[in-house]
Amino acid sequence: MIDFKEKVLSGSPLDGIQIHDCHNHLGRWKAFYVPGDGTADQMIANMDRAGINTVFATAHGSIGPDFIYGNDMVRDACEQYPDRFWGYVTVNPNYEDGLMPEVLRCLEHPGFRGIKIHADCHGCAIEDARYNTVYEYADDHKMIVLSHVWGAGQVAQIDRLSTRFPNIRWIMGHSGADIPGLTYAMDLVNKRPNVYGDTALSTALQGNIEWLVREADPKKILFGTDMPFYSPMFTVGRIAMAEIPDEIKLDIFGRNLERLMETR
Amino acid sequence: MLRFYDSEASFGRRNVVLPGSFWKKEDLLAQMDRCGIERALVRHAVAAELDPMVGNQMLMEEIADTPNLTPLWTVQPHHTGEFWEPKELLSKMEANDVRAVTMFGYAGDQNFITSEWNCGALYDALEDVRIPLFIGLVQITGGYEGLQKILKAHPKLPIVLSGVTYRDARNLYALLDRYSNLHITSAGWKAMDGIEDVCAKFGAERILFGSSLPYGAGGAAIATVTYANISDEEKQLIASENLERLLGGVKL
Repeated sequence: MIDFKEKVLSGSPLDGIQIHDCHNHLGRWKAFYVPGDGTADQMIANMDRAGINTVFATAHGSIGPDFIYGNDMVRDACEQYPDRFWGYVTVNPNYEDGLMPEVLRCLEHPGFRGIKIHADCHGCAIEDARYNTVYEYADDHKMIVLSHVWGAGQVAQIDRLSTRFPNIRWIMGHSGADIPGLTYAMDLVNKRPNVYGDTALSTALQGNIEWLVREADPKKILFGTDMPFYSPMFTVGRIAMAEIPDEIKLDIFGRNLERLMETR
Repeated sequence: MLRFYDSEASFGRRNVVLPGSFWKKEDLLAQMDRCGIERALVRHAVAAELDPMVGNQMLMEEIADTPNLTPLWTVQPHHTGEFWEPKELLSKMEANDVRAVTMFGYAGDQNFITSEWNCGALYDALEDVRIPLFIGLVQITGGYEGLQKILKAHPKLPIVLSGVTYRDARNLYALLDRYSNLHITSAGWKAMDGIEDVCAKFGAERILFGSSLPYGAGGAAIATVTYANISDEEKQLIASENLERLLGGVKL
């Protein structure tokens, strides 16, 4: 068994286990400076230092204004690193060609394995009716949909959508983020088999992972870092050093996402 | 292995304790042990959330038998008479071997303006003997604008800024470039390759390891330093030596 504490304190990669990161980005961002520009090469270097095998990514460009620019950036990363990058097709309901046409365009490339929704950035609700054609397609094809989920109000939307579209495997990015959101999200993870939460939380409160594992089914919590929005090392350390059984760490770091992807 | 001396930790009862967190000194020591943190500069939560005089006294009593915890006093401007005048403050600090201070001016905390007309005498006193001021960005009136004025007026006052996040570089870097007395704690500075970037542009001497326990996760804070793509010497500066240097530079 891996000695997590020794690895983290020595700054050694968490070798010998599978680490799959379900929540990542790529590229520059309007709101702040991303050292190194958040390139795929830079992400690979960080992944190697920590021992992360694979990242599931959406580009800043596509959660921002230009879904084609962003999705093409993800496609290029998947082509450059086919064993290290998986892509989300990010859709934007403000554009007719930003919904199903973009999904179909991107899914021609094998690197894309899921769909990303960022309703806050695109100025709408997760339940916005314009997303429906995408949700119907994702439901028909039992796809993974990662949605940015911040606060109890957005968890409630996933609660309703996961009933309407029961074949979509929903990942709640940030797991609701604040305490009321996290509390509701953990309840939803427990009651709805097709809903998962991730660990992409920049606040990284003390004891937070231990609390999530205590409150929710630990087999439905997925490792997510938000790289390169911020450093993945932060979340690697937060989970590796958490006071939870090593078997649960292995589930969160990689086995849960592997199982989720196999259930398609 | 790196030796860690935490520059941003606290204990004591506070208004709100979030799920999974703690407040007791013993729990802080246990978390430090788990995370490989040997020592910590600590403040008492009551000094921030009730009153500095009360909380600082609690701090000294509670860490008296704990040599790996060193005191960080919470201070206020003296004008109301509820806190010591600067000269008396220095005398009390010398008597208690206290070598660092923090303060909480934010309106939702102790509610005072941190500008020169209110805190200038306090800054002058601290600057004279090089006592480092540990302060959160949100506690400074006017944020980066206010910080710039303090740095400019007090070039020999070591300031250690906490609460810096991965979103701050576009303001922070200009101040790091211009004012050598500005430092940051690592707890919030979690930009990808952010530690590497600050080390390359401004030097590893400008970052102090901070866990932000019991608010932030200690393991997360440790990993940002141990996994940084910098030399072992730079890591050790961040992990402990920069804090030791600042505390050792106090001329009480």
